[in-house]
Amino acid sequence: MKFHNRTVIKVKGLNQERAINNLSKKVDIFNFKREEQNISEFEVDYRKRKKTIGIIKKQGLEILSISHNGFLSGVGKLLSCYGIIIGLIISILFYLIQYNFIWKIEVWGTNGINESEIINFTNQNLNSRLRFSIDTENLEIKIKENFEEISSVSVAVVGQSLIINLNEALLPDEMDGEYKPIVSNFDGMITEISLIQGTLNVKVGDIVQKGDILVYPYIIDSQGEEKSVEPKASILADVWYTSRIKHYEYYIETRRTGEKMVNSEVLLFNLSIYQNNHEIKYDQYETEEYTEILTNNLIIPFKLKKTIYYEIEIIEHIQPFEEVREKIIDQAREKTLIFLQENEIIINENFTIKEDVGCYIIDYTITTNRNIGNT
Amino acid sequence: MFNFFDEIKRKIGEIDYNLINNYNVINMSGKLLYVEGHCGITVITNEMVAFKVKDGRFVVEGKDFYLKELTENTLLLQGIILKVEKF
Repeated sequence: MKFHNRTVIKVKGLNQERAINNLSKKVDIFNFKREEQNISEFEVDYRKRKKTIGIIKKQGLEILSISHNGFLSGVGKLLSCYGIIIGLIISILFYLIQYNFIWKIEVWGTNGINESEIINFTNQNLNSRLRFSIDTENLEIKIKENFEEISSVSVAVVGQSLIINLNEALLPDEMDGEYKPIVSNFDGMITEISLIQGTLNVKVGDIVQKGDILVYPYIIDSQGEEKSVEPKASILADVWYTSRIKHYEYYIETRRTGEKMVNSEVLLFNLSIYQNNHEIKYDQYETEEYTEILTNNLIIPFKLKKTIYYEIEIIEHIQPFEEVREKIIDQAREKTLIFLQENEIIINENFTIKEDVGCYIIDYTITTNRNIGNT
Repeated sequence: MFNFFDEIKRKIGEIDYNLINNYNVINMSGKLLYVEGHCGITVITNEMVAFKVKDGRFVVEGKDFYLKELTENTLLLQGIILKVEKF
């Protein structure tokens, strides 16, 4: 569609020069072409087409054809297509009418509750599907009354959807009828047991590991049937905490000196289009590389690739174990003490030293007595 | 507004301004002919265009003529312009 709004007119007749001279006094003429001796074609402004046709007819010329170009004529043609206009009006009317109805019911916040049950219940309790006639407050009350497992509910009309947002009630474990066994959270040896309810899985002197079941959540009644109970017991155990430290008599450390150099490169489709590289003057260095997109909104994906060269120095450490023995043992002890609770009494502590390839391994163990039950 | 023709005319001071103020005919590289101040077209074909001016008549010869624009006193002719004569 051209933006020049022009009408193309083809005329036939004699003495056309006189006719276009007269026409040009009132209307600007464009692209005049004489196809034959008495036939010619020209363009005029679309808005002056009626005036032009009137003048041409007065001049005694015969109009062979009229056609239109441009945006205005396009709009004019569109407006003359009654089918499209009627279709548009029907669509708008249909949209306006259907906009007043609720077409969809959505339920949010369901985990244990069946969503379809709530949707069915809501469908049965809706007076009508008209948006403006839905009493959301009344619906909230009805839903809450009918579903015990719902603690709170809100109903809202959003667009053409009815949103039911609900919170499920959290029931305590006792009401659920499901209990969990007492499980050891530590490694240790049982020293004393005081069972309140439940069935024991351990006895005094047993060694337990983290995750072992100590008391089952049931009892066997006089008829020999299992009955669920909440397990309760006080179980004292010697609990061991162990930490390990490794000491290398000889090792090499690489350390950054703080000096660095940066080389950058601009890439387009992974091809380098610009580079800013410096000669690396360091004898020993390590590199880090990253790439970032330079432009977020442009279609051309320019990327910036940066390479950072860090100067490093290599330091040799030689430390015979015997010189630092006591210090290492103290470090291992400190590391173990972190696991202890405040004011917890230490029953025993010991350590072992093992020699491995090029290193010494110090395991430090602290023993305390702790209640690993739940009372 | 700046007018190219007025600027040229101003440079020729000794000639009466009114004597050179009737029409302007510009031939652009033999492809376009721009005319200001015509008094009507007398002939228009693919090979010849003639038009009146205040003190005579112009005849333009060539081929593939095509009147790009025509208003009351200007015209723009497109085509291969071989000769422009004034009678």
